[in-house]
Amino acid sequence: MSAQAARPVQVNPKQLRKSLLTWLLIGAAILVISRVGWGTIWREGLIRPMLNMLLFLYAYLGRSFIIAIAVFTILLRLITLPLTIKQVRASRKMAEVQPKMAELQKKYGGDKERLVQEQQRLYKEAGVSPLGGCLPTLIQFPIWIGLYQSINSILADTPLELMSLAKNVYGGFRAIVDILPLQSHFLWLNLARPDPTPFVLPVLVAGTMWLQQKLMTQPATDPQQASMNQTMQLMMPLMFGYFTTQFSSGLAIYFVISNVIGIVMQWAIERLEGPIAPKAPASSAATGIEKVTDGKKARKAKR
Amino acid sequence: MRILKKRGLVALLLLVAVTLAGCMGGGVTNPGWTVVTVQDEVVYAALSTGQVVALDAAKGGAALWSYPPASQSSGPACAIARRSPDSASPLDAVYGAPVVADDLLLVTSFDRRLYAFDRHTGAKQWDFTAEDSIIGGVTLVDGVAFFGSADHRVYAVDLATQKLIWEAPFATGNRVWGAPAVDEARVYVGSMDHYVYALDRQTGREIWRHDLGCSIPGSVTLADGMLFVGGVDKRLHVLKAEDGSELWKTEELDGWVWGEALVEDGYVYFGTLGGHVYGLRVTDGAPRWQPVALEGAVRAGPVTQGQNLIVGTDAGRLYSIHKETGERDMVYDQISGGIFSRPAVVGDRLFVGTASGRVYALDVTRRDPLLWVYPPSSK
Repeated sequence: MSAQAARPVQVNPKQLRKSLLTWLLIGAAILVISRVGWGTIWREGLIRPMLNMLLFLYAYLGRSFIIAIAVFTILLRLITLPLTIKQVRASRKMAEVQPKMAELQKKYGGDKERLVQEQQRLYKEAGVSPLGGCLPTLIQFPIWIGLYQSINSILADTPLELMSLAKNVYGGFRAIVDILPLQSHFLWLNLARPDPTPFVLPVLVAGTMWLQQKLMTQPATDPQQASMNQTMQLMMPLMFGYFTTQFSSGLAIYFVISNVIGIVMQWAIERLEGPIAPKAPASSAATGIEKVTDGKKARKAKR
Repeated sequence: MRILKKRGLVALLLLVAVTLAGCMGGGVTNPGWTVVTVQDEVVYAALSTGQVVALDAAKGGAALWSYPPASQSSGPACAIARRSPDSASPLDAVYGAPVVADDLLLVTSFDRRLYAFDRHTGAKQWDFTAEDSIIGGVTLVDGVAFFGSADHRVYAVDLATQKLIWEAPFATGNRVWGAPAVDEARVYVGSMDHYVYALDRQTGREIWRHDLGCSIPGSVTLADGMLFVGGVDKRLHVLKAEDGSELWKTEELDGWVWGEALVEDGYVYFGTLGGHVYGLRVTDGAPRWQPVALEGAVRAGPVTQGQNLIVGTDAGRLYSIHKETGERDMVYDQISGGIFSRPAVVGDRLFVGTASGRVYALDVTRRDPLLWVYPPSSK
């Protein structure tokens, strides 16, 4: 304890600048939110641009809401493409360092503190952040909620939703007079309401999401991580399948198109960058560590 | 330990799912707004919670009855109960004002039904089902209920037989959200398909239609042989009831004209979602006074109370505007929830329904106008 206290504190100026900048940005964000109000930021920054973009696409692309949603989804995926590529690359890098991680676990398994230090060092050396891959997913959440609200307002199944549309449509968007009410029917679907069947869209959403996650999730050597991956791969599609039974089918169409684009993008990146080359530790042959892709195999490997 | 973590993750995901479902509102049920009507000192209200209540206006808003009974209308089982058409479950959402017809109280609902309750006991007598949700209220003439539906149709139901008096409902090109206006010979109705229709009251056959050039979300007002119709083009249109020709229309205003217009003594009064109230001469549209700016959008049309107009806004403000001068006064600004429906007026008293599911009773002559609030716990 006393030895630790006597150790001089080393300050990395670069890291200090980064921390200060981060806190400065957080402070500025809090200041803006408190002055402008979260509701205004949400409305002006997300809902109104999305809603008016969808209306614009509907008005000038054949007055089909399905086409509007499809083009909107493609545009959104294009805007977030750099983040998606970053996510895929981070995921691949994580997979590459998995053998080294396994070796570290074996070596420092009894010393948790040391293990964490070494893991962090490994991440730093490899240039990956364990949480870096979460950013695109986190960004998607407000987009989903915003899109849900926008679709409901645009297709306006209830007077309150129509009130919301009236308030959120830009004053200069004069085409609104001609295009209202929007054509909300597609095949058997009323896009403002959940799929009446009610299994076609939920199965499509869950299926495409499962496939996308299956392609995106890189193999893990850590049994706990592998088990978590397996749970997520199953639970997320089930969760979104359930959402689909509750929410407007227009949002479900967005999920399906977005997932299909995600699958194609993942496939394209894999083709462009080639297969993952795991960075095997020098002693990997001796340790007998092998690539583990799911929980069952992971548990077997541990035994 | 691993199993515990896995279960924790599953529980977290389920929690997120349920929370998001809650945040996003879900697609099965939806909130309406509270609508009121008053007859014989009894306030009849359909609350935004889906409950229909009768309140004693003179006794502090004491509940005389409720449908379904209060004990059945809350709790998690409520949502499940809604799926059974025969159980006493809350109505999905109500947007049109209830109408008293002798011993019956007529209420339209988003759940596609026109309900008839015994107005003395609250017992459901019968219901009539349309193909889609019913947003507007009922217009009652000679024992026949006229109403429109989101199934694009206009219905005329005989209350005595609960059957259509026409061979078939009249079909427009899109949703009918407003209540029809009815005279001795005709039924007038606006549709989201941009048209105003005049129908033969006895047969339901079309007499004329007029293209307004925009969707019509609200009710049409019939007065002095003219029809007053608001649209999403931010204008009030005035048509000749005889043949549907346009007499005049306003210039583009500051917001959609949705609420019913009020016509009195040669002037038409109406509000906009932009938060203004207008008073115009019916013959030529000349303004009686400058537009009156209010805080919040005016969804419902004004009602008259003595020399004043009473107007509520979605910001929960209740105003009075002098009909001759356009002078504005705040009646009450402590209302919780937006006002989307017309207040009911009895003498100096106002009864106001809010989107938060409350009914406020106010006396405009008192310094503190609040008489009572229903439910009583929330003042």
